[in-house]
Amino acid sequence: MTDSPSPPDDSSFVARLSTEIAQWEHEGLLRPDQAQTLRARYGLLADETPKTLHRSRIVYFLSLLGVVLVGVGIILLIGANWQAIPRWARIALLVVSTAAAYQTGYWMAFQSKRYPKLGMALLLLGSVLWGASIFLIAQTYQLVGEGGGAGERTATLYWFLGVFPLAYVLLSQLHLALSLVIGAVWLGMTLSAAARMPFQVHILVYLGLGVLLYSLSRLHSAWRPVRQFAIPYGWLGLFGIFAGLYAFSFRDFWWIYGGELPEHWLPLAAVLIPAALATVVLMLTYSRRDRESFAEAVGLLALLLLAVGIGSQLPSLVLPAGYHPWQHGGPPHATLLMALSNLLLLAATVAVIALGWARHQPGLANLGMVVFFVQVVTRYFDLLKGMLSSGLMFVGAGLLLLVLGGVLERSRRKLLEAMAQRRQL
Amino acid sequence: MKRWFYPVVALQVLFLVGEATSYQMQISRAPVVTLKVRPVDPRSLFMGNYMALDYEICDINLSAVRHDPRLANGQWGDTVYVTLIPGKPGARVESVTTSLPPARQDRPCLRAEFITVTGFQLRVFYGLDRYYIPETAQEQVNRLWWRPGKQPPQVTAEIAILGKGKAVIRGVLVDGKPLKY
Repeated sequence: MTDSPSPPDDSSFVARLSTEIAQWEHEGLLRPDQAQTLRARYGLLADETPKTLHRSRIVYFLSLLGVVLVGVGIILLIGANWQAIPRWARIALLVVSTAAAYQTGYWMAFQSKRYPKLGMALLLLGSVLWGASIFLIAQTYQLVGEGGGAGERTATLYWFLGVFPLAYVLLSQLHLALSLVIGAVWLGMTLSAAARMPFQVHILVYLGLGVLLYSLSRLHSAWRPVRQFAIPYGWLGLFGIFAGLYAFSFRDFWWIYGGELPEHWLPLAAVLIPAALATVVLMLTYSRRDRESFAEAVGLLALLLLAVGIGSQLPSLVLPAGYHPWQHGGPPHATLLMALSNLLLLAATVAVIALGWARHQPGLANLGMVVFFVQVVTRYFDLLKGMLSSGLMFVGAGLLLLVLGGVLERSRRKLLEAMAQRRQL
Repeated sequence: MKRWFYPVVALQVLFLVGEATSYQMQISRAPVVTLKVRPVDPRSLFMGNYMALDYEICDINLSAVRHDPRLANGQWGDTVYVTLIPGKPGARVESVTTSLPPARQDRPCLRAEFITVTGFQLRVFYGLDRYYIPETAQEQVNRLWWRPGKQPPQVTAEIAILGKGKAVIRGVLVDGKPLKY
């Protein structure tokens, strides 16, 4: 997701660098003090090896697992001892636990600097506890389910608003990822509550969010202090884009929703899609000197406009107002919309593989391969259901999976090998 | 950027304290109205970690109350306001409107969501359907409710009216005795 690897977060780069520094020092290319300066720059200890780095990652994941267990444990403990703990003591316990997790984490990560990974995990625990506290305090006063779920939505929004700035304060990818997931959950809750909005607008909102996050990823990758944020923004953005396009790629989707005209555009859609457009335009201006980034921005802009066109404009142009497809046996243009959506999904898949190739990012190429695989298998079931007996269809699906799996594995390996060769040149 | 850590955390902690204080003040000062409860499931009130409550005033006979004629064309999710006449064992509906009526001390008003209208029978949802209780109290609550061979108890809910139709459950009473959770 970044133009060049962001050192502290690209583990393969750090592992390779560690070995290289030791080699350069051994060959006399670097003085010991220079080697030490370089190690300090990338958070490496003296005599760090790929093996010790691997162990350090295990410690990190264990800490994260610990965060989840402690967070869930505290929530359950307070929930289960509801009666035994007086109301104010319950609230005090939540507030003190949150503050203690933050303070201990900050001290470990930034003041003593001896346990930076454990410290970051505790800081994440602080944010999880803070969110849980918002819900538990509301629940203490019977306010969570208030207003048909409005209480839960508002609490989720507050949680997002509290964690998001902390991500930038601590420069923490974990906090950013947590806040983006919370934000997406809030968006889902808000969309579900908007009963009268056509479902295709829900999907457009997710697509808009995906494009917005991906564009933010590209903008972050160009700014060194927050370069590491390109990773969570980028992956969540791609998830939103592909999930949206995948939903559009079903014929049944357009049979049900294709003729429903978006009469009630939720403010969210009206805000998110222009915001995504604005960010892509910013990305365009920013990247006009770099051909590859410029092509990427143009592609994103085209994807957003085409998706909005497919999702809202085409049905409105073709169908009369108030037309409901289920009363007419499905809109005549359902197949056309499905075909256009599949083409768009395919184009996005090819673009992601090409980007992975151009930027030496095997992760992107792998993602493209997986999406392609899922698309082909889905279309197989989508198009052949009802045409073949279920037994025959499963045999065919099995064969298709085997052949496709083999072909994709071969292409993926070739692609990754070629990328590795290119990197060495 | 790190210098902003303590201010952000302080704001988060203050938010929690403020949230609790604000709820406490709003609920303790709010006028209270009692509503008759009927069980969602006749065998149990307990659902997970909350009691699932349904109220008699969720079903309103429009032919017996003043109401806005636009309700006949209402759609699921529309906001309606139900004005109540407090009474024992539970409040009765005085009127149903599509806009907030002028505030009156003796006529509490609840905001609700329109669910459906069939003839003159209106169904609304108040969002007051969950009363959180500890999991350990499940058996105790079910014993209160499910008494084979005996008349089921009369369950009522004390609702604190927070203003502009917003409301919250302050307590649940079984045969007039409050459940202490």
